[in-house]
Amino acid sequence: MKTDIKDKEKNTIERKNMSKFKDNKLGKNLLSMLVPIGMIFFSFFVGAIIMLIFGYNPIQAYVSLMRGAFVGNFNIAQTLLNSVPLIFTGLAVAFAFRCGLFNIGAEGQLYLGSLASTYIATAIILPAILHVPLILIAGALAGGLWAFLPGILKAKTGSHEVITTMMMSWIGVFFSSYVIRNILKDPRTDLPVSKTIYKSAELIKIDKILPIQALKGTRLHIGFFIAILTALLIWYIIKKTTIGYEVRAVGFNPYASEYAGISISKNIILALFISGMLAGLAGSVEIAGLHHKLWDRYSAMYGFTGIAIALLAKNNPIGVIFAAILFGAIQAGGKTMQLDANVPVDMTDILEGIVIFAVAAEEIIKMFIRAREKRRFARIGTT
Amino acid sequence: MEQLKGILTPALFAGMIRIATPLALTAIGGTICERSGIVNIALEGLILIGAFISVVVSYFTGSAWLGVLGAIIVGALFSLILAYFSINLRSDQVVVGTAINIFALGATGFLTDFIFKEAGATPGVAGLNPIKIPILCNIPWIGEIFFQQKPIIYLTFLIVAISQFILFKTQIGLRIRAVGEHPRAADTVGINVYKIRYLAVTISGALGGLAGAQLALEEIRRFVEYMSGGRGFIALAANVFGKWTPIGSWLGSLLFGFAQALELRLGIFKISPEFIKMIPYALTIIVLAGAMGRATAPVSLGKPYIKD
Repeated sequence: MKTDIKDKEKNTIERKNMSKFKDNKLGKNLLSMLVPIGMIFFSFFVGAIIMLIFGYNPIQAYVSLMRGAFVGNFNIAQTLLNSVPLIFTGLAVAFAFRCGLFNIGAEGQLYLGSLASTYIATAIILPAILHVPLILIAGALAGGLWAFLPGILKAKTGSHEVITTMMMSWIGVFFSSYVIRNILKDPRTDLPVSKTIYKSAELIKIDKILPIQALKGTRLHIGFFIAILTALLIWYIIKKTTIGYEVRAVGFNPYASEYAGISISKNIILALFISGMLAGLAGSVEIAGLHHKLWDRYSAMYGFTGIAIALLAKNNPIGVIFAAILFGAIQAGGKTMQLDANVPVDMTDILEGIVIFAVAAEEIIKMFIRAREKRRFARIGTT
Repeated sequence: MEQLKGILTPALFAGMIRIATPLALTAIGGTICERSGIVNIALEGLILIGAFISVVVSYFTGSAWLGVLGAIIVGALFSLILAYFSINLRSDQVVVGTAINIFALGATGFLTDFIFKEAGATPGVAGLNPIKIPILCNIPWIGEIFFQQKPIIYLTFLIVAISQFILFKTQIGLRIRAVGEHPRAADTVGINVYKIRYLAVTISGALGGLAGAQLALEEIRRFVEYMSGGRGFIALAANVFGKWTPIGSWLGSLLFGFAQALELRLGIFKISPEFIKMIPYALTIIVLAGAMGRATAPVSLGKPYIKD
């Protein structure tokens, strides 16, 4: 009875505030989009100052960076290709963050995913319609399992997941190095690379199925669409399902969640498992879509860049897509920047670092807003 | 048995100590930093910066010792970024650490290109040579293992002892541990939490820089891009393995160093080098799983302190 009355009261109050609430929400959404964009501009500005100090021309550098990233079929395709593994690792980090967990070991999970997928793709021949899904599932499961142990440890002994996922990540890197060199090895060469996967295991190139002029003749594969669909799926899981609700609740306030009957342990393990699956998929899609064979240590720190992407996107799966494309563009344009403006390609790492610093410094902005609100409340209190 | 005799030579153990030195220095820095409550993922970047600065200073001054000094100072200054973000801005410490690592990787590569007009590596520079300790170096086995090493390696023995003593036997050590366990209580009794944390982070920066200098000036005598090669993360493992004590960090580093030294000589056995490389990380997981007694991090590790 009591709750009924309370609900009714709440309803009327809510309805009263509806118009106001809507405005606020719109403002909030706009702000939450503007803040990351502001950070990107700020980071590029700091990068420009650094270039000026060292006697480079920042305008020329950024123009050639953009040209190398967005002008011409192959550059656009390269930007999108770069973004594919980053969308997955970004999602992996973001999903764990939603549960208050820091999955710093996406790199190792990615390797395990690559390993499982390469194994299935080189060991058996199946019709493509079965082979490709099987590869993706295997990669996701292998990545998930690699993050499962840190989840168990966190839930049972309280060991910090930053340490355990990082340690598991290195174990994964060396383990896959061993498997590539000893089990999956291509016998025709001395290089540390696996056998080439069967044709039935390859992801189709986009220009084979869609007549998009801008992508004609490029290597961009449907892994890009798989990445976007996965982002949408993760968005749906987070926002619309019980799993997502519980994971978020544990991330927001574990003790209150426990009190409300949501198991902390279960959700920690689940969140890390799903996070690992996403990182594992990054590996699967890279192998099946782009490389078609597994090179030892092929990942260009995708796992770590995933952290930057998740942070910049504020752990929003849709935001992850855009952040990943941005980072993909920076990496794609770096070489052109070096050739045209003579700026060392390492500048792209510096830019990436500054973006993360800017995200980390966001607390200043929050503090500022909080202080303003405090003052406002103080004013309301006195009237 | 004969094979084993061929492997277990003084040179193996001397190698262990050499390999363990940069790990131990970095791990002890990590220990001091984390004891004060600040997570230090940035160790990898600090080693890299230290290595780079030591080589640049040694290149332009011709003095390796000035290079060491430069690495310590710049390492300490660079760690102030971590301190400012995590203490004053209350940023997520793991995020800042990640930013520092990526930034350090980019900055050292960028500057190598800018200063030396070469991508990837600098020219060779004046390094530090081994010093034989008179008399002691002639003791069989012990002499070769401990007393024919290079200077920073000797310095490391001292640092292990001093840092253990400071952290557990002095007032400043007690303060560092107090602000990492219960900053509010420490604040109440008049300890300046921010100041102590700044101090601890700076020490870790100086030690990380020194570790980089050791690697660059005593081992390969030049700077090579990403020469830290994951040592910052192994050091972090050694720190956890050593249960957040300087001596434990050192022992952990020696163990990991032993594994790596062994790896170089293991051709005879049928063990793949990859499995040896996993040892530090696997052991750390086992320790954290509670197989070797409880390994508990400082209570307030990673939590920003808000002074009212």
